[in-house]
Amino acid sequence: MKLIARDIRKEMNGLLVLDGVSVQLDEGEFVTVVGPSGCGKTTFFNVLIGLATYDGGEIVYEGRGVENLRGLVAYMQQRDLLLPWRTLMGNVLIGPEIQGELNGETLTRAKELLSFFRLDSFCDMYPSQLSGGMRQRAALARTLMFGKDLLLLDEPLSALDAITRRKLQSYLLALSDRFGKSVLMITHDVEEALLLSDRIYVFSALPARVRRVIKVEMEKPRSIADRRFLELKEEILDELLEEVQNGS
Amino acid sequence: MDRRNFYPVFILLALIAVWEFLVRLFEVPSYILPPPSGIFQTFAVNFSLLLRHTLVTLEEILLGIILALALAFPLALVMFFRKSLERAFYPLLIASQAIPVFALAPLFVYWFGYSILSKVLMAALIVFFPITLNLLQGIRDADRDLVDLLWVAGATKWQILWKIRFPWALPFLFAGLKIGVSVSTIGAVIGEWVGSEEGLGYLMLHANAQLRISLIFASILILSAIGLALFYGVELLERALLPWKRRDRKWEEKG
Repeated sequence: MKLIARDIRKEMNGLLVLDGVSVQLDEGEFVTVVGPSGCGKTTFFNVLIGLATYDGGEIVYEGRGVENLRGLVAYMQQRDLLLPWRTLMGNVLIGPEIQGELNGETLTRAKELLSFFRLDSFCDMYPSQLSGGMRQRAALARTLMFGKDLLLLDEPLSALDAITRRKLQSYLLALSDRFGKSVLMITHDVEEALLLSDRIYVFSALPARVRRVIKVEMEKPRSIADRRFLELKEEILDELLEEVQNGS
Repeated sequence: MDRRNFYPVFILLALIAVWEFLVRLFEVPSYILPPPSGIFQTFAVNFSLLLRHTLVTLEEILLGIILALALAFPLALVMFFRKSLERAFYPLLIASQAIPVFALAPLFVYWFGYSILSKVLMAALIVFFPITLNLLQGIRDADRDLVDLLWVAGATKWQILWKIRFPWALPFLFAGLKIGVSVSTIGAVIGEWVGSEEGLGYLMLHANAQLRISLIFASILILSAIGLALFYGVELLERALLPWKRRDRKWEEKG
């Protein structure tokens, strides 16, 4: 197991937010978390990466108990969070830079990644000069350049329009398929979860619990028109709807 | 060149023309208000005198700005990293501005003498306030998510300071610097008024005593020019150092 989060419990201002959430992730697996909005998904992530404290439970990374995953994961948000004062290349190199590994090898890897994300002709441009899709691709390249096996993505495509989003989903798929990363992703888009994931955790409304774990056993790349795909989509949407109605 | 750049020049020329016209029309004596032509004549006649005193004042101002910057950085950092020290320093910082520079000038001259040092300190005192406050504000204002991003990746607080907070604060620093350099002449000139043997402030006092009003006007013009030049100098520096702040058109992706 790459990552085990067991029975994570957290209160905020006397309100129970995470009610014993357990999630696990295998080496090279792509796992998504879906849940009604405001259900505590992001809080769960913040607990994992150390941006929030928790009141109970344990986190095990590669068989070793850890306080949180700070320094062990690469993390990415809905906002691209590119540094506006750095060119694309400068942004992609921030990871090796803070790890003190800025050398010819990492430079070559950065160039390869930028060309994989079809950004090679924009290396010297500033983020403000680029479109949303390009910026998010650059953010993906930067996330990979942190050189971690485990990626935590918090709704990485939510800020993009539908078409750009569809295009970028294939890049997300490449994270596990091509680069061999283990990916834990939050999304509110059930279709996206079904397109990419090996397993899907459906969270309940607040306080968050794991309502259901769905193993998606379809070959990738998948088609959204597939019958099994549509069935699963309906099923998950029904569960979420039920949660929203119960929750409020 | 953008024709809008000519507007201020045009207005200035118009004002000078009106001034010249009115002085001649009402036959104002030149020891009350000299006409612009008289001031320009003074410029030409006293060129080397004005140049010598200008260089002294300019040196005081530039050293004052450098000193202010040298003080602002450590002070802003200390106040950022130590909340308790911020609470200790902040009121002092404000008090340093609440006291009029005029009130401190005699003390500074008394302590540090007629030399350039007391004027440099006066200029620094005025300049360092907007710089320090803006720098502190910029360091603090840095995007929380950017800071978190590097923190999660395991960056140290110094790496976060150097790679996120400091670049983030640069536009703030420049805004403060622009305010600071525009008023920097005040400190130097007041210092010279109170006690000095050279500089434009000194020259003005003497011209005043001798009723050489056009020499006073010439000094004032030079001081304004110094203020303007410093301001636009900072702006040029900002453009050169912060190329990402320029608003270019977005690159639209094809296909």
